[in-house]
Amino acid sequence: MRIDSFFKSSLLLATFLAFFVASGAWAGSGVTITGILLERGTRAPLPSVNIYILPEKIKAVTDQDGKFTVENVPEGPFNWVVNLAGYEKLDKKDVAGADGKPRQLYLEKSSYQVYETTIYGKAKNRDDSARTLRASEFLTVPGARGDPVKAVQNLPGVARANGFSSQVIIEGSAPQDTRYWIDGHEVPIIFHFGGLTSVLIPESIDRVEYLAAGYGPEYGRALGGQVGVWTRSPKKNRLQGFGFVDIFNSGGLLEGPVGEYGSFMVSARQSYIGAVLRRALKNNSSLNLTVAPQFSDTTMMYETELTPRDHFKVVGVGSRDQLEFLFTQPVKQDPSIRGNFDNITAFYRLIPQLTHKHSETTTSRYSLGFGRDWVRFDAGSDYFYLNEYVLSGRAELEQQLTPFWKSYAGFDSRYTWSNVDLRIPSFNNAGGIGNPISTGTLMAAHVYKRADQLGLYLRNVLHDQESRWTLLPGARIDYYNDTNELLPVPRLGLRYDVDEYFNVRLAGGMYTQRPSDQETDSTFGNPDVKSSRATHVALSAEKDFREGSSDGFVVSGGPFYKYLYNLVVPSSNLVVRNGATVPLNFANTGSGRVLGGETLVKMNFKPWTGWLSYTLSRSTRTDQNGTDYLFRYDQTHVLTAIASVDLPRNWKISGRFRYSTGNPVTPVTSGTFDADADVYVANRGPFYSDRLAAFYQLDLRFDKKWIYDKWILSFYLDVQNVTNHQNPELIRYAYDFQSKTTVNDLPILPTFGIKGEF
Amino acid sequence: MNKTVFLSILVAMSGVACSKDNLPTYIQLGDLRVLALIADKPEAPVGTLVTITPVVSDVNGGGRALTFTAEACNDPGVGVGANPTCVGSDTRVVLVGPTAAAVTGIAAPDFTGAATSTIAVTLPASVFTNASAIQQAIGVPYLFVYKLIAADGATVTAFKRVLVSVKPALGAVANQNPSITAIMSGGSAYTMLGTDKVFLSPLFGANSAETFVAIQGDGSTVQQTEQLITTWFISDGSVDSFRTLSTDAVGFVPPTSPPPNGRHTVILPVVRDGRGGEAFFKQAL
Repeated sequence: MRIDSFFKSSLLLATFLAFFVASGAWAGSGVTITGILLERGTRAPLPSVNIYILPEKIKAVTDQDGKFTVENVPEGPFNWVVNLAGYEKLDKKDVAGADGKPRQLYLEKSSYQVYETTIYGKAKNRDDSARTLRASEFLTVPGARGDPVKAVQNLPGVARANGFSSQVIIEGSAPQDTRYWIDGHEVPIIFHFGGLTSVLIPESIDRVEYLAAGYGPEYGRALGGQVGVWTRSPKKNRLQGFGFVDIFNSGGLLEGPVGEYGSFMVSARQSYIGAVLRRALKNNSSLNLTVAPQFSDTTMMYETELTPRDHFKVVGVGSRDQLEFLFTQPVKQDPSIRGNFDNITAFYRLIPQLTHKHSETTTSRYSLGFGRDWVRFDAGSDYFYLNEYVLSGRAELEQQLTPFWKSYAGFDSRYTWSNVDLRIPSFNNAGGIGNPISTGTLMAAHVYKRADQLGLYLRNVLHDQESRWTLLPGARIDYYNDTNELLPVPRLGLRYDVDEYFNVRLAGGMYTQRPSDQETDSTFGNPDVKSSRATHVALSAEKDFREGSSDGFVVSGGPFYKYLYNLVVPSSNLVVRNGATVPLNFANTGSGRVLGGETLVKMNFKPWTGWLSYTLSRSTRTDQNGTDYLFRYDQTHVLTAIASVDLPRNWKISGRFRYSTGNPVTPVTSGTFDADADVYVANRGPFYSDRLAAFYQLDLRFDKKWIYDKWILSFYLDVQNVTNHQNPELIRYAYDFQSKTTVNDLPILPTFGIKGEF
Repeated sequence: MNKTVFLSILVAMSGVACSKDNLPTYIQLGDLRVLALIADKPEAPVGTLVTITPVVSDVNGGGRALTFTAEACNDPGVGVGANPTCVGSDTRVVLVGPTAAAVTGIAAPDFTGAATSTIAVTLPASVFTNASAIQQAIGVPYLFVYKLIAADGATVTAFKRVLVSVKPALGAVANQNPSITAIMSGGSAYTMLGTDKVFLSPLFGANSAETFVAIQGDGSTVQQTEQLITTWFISDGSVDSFRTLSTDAVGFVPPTSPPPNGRHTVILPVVRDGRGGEAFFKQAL
């Protein structure tokens, strides 16, 4: 009996213990495992994610840093299992032991090629006329080679620029009527030579803003529009970066935390296309490359929270382009050109920025842009040297004055001190047909100039939450010391929200642009010229057919009109000044009109995304005799269609098709021989009365990513002009203008590159 | 990827677009050409009678009749972009015209050389209207326009600026034409056509490259020496460079077969001093 009873008790205890151990509920019988859950490749921590240990069904949840702790794990083999939307399922074997080693679990995204489908966030912008391209969009647009500013050229309203041109031609305006800036501060160039890439490494850019007809009062001094680049904040979570190599250039970026509140970023690029060119052309007897084209740039950034209310950031940007050739025999088009050709363009900017949050309703922003610009141009015995110091300043006070009234008041100033040494012939390019340089009157001088440009602006946003109307009245006052003008100009915006997904906007204003330094120079220009003026009106509507879903269409667009007047145009007239007959050089006798309409259709049907932009416009200028002629960059139709598809295994294929009407050209009827200069001068027909053939081009791009635990390897192949269509860009004439041929845009151009990021 | 494709890509990427250039070569003689307009006095005071000699070529013309017209006027501002024409100018003077006169002196078999039908023009005082003292010292251009017309209607229009200045009155020397006395190769005159490539250089007459005092726009002066530039026109064969500086040599590859119709191979260098002075030398080989 006692034995039986003991046996029963022992059996009961054994059963209980066995059950207890098997259930894992026996405290102290298992091990504790700690670890961190990271996104594979980027090593971004994944917070608030359920992690399971199977088959024991033990669960843990990651904290904000992706860390987790699992206790009482039975020793022996088990499986980690994580299921998270947007990621591949993790099912990984492991063995629980007494080693106490922390685990690192990596969760792989379903696709690393997926980006936001919103092409631009128009409704989110302060300025209704602005369109914003974010990094996730411009980095993979075909044909733009990952460059943000080239991606802008796909937007409606932007005319197609020639070949590798660095120009952004906005809604029928002249290229020089577009201003470029970085974090609000003007820079002389935004592209490296030939428009290959922007002067900032694309990955350091947060977004690109494109301001077109009717843009707001914060910016000015440009008749056409603005293209601005906003740098992003350096990442703070860990030290990270990337390096890349492609057939143009190579470079890298490094960023990470500095202390508790700060972060930094440094990047640099160096091109080597010149070295390859030099090697390829070494046996070319007529073009002997001494120093071939090359560029380099660097960006440095530091950002910190000084106080909970004060945010500080300083950005340093440096860029240098050099293009040097030695022509051992004269250029056929202009036999006067021979000898050494050297061009260096360089600049740097240091841009400290401070944002102070006074209260929930009041914020102020201050920034300075200090820097220097160099331009050096040598062509044989002719030269042009510019050395300019620049100080620009911006300040803005943003206030929510009442529940329905928000205001932005600020100033936007720019001061330059420049020294110019030059010895160049005057160059006549009437009708887009250049006279040979040697026929021009030789000019040599040293010029010192200080230019002050001061701007004050006020933007108001009047919107009652109960109303569908938003009124955006604003104004700007610009002062130019070299023309001694104080120019107040109004800006006005109006928005009507038909419903949550449909709105209509009206924007307009007056705009001014000071003459260039050359145009106001007393020797090379006309000291009496004044600023050019324009009036813009743009009407647009946007309908989001997705109405809250992720797939569908967004359609926007509308007409625009610009009246340009007081334009500074070249003049071959002679004028008596101070008792002597001198060339007038320039006069405010130009005017013009631009009328057009533009539309953008965005499509998103996963895994497909698409973009269709179309612009119809007519841009004319009026000469001093009152005769209208087409503007040289007038393009009646500009169509861009982009489509991309995300494929499994992190493949992405995208394509772009572009069509545009050929640029107007001035026919040349014959040439006249200049016996002194030994060249022919063109006899021009009616200005821009003919056109080049239309432009067609199809580009394709293939992206592939390989994801490793701690880094990502990317490869891209970008093929421009897949069909090898010959697009004429300009006309090249024989020496006597009796015969001609066309200079075509690029043939089929494959480029490729790899990038490793950690 | 073959080298041609690779090269075209690289050149394209450097901003140079692609084209097939089969356009005529500047220095190749063949069609109707005016090669130079030589003023016996490229710079002279008001009232001076200046004689202008056209240097003409019509190698492929086969001896067709050539005529010309000529006119002159104050420079409308060609250097700053005005069209090089006297039409519409208040100071226009028709020197030959409207009926065209015959061009003489362009003879068989080469139909290339200086026309004996020269044109005389008197430099008018109106050139100095509204010209400052500095401008008068530097020189104000007076425009001469010459139109060459072939019997079949082909035309070539050429112009030249004769500098009108007060330099002699200020004691300075007015610009003179340079001169070429021979084409040299290996230390001797090149007069016989060979089969191998040779290096040719111009032999300039004495004082061709003048030292002069240039008056700058602000009134200051600077002493300079002319840099002579020679353009090498040829009827056959090929040259390495279109132009040479000073007495630099140019490589010349003779034609592999003789020119047709008993024509010579013509080498015709034209030298310019950069101030309006010109000269030429014709060598028929």
